[in-house]
Amino acid sequence: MHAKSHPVLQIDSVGVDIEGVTLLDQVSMSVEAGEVIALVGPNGAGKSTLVRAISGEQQLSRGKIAFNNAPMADWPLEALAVHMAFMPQQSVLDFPFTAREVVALGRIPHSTGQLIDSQVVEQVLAYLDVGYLADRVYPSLSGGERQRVQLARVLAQIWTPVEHPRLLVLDEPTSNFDLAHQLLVVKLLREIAFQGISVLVVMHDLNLAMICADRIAMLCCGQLQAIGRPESVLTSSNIRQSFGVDAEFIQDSVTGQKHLAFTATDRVKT
Amino acid sequence: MRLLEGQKLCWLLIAAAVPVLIMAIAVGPVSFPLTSLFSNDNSQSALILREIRIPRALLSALVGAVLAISGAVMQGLFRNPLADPSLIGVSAGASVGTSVAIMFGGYLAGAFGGWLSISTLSGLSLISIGAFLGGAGAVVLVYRLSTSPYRGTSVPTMLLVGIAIGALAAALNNLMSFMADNEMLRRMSLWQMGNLDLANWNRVWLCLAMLVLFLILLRNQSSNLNALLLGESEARHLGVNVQATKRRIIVLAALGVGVSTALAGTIAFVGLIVPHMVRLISGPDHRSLLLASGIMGAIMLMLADLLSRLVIAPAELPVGVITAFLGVPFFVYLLRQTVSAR
Repeated sequence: MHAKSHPVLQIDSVGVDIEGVTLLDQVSMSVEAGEVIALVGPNGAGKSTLVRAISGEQQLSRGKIAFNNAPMADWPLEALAVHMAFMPQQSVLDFPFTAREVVALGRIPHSTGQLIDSQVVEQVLAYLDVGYLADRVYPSLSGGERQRVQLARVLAQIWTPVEHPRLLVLDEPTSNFDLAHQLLVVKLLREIAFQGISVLVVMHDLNLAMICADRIAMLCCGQLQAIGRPESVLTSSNIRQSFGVDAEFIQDSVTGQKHLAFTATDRVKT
Repeated sequence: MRLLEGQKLCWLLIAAAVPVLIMAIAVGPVSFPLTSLFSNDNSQSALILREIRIPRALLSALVGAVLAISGAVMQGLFRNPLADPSLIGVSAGASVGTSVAIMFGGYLAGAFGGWLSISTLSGLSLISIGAFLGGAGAVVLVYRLSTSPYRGTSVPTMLLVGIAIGALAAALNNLMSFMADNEMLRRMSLWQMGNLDLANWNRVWLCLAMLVLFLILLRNQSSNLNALLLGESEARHLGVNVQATKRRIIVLAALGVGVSTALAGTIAFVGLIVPHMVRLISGPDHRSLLLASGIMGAIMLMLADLLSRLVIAPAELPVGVITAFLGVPFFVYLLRQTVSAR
């Protein structure tokens, strides 16, 4: 494991205003090496703005973000690309690349040579259970299959160890997955984190977030409402405040595993 | 799915280009053995070969290559397999430039006489210069209007602005056609159908220089273009300097289409169909797509020009008409093939 002398990602009092509207305000948190953080919150809470700010795509109005102890802006694009991979909610690709070729695009920032690149691609394809799709043409895949191929692509990008700890940022990676693949991804994210890669993942399914994440960060109205271990963040009062939904824990009598059950309240929080 | 690997396709195309080039040189209204090329006499046949056939075959190959590569990079940049260099206003601007040159050529020649004699010496007519300036002007306008200091160049805005500028150019063209006399009108519309009968060695060298510039400046852009196909944000996360890549691609495509339009008029479909055919055969990877498109574009325009000289010999058809007649059915055939293969 990597030394935990400094966090992989340090977010410090970050604020983002767009056209006079405050989308993020005073958000401070850190991501340690080898941990999975799930980012949850209702629609419009600022989750995507935050991941876009982290990825450098969104300019900050206030505060600062440091990656591996250096300000984000000081990272050259090529060096950043081998340390951090980002998967947006949706990628439109109309060109007839095969799934294998799409995954291979993740190796663009690397100069490891064709042999290693193709080995990584094959490993990742197998790892994400998309090997059987490898020779299919990307535009002919279903929504969930495309998302798995894109996930394989960003994994290929940070598959090999580099100078500094690596970070994987995923914006709702499982939104189109069937149940089996959602659970598979949870398992894989845990394995990836075990190898020292930090994972920041936006999730809508709180139950999935609970079994996936070391810590959960809950955003509401552009502010960080709570961050910490899943059971300390996913409390009835936090969930009611953020989502406007009544929630209670149900414990499985056999496995002892806890699940959240929801009831809609009269109003949906806006 | 893939009919051929990119590299194999390139070799195959090179192998096909050689006989096509020989055919383009050897076949014409006047026939004679190719050996007269090597005789040092100044017989009529050697002159025809050296000063007419060879430059014309080479120019058609070079223009075809430049057009096809320009089309391929534009489609990559716009992330749309149906994008075409005319989308950014090059062709429309160029045709306005030509019309201006044809209509006001007399006045212009008087005003810039000295300058013109230099350009005529280098093998370019006033019409070519007008076409190039018109095309370049339109692209600069489209690029400026769709670029903001905050967001860089917005590709969707560029498409819309390109359509607007194209409509404006069409209106200007119509206005000039309306005012033009019969002779001018005929020249304008002939130019818009494309022709290579003004080929000479100076034009060949100019176009060759353009192609070499293309190959040098696009050498490292293939991976960037591949990444751009995923999306601008995705490309950025793969370490690509997106704004710099966009600027380079736009400038190169505008230059390429501008130069080839200036030298050979508007030749439709090569920039659209050739890269598309290559993609259907060997996939969208730009590492082989650009080269294969260039060679296939050269072959296609040589064949089209050959036909344009033969069909109603000794008269000639505009080559743009032939590229459309030749290209469209083949394109549709390939399209149908892949649809049924899926």
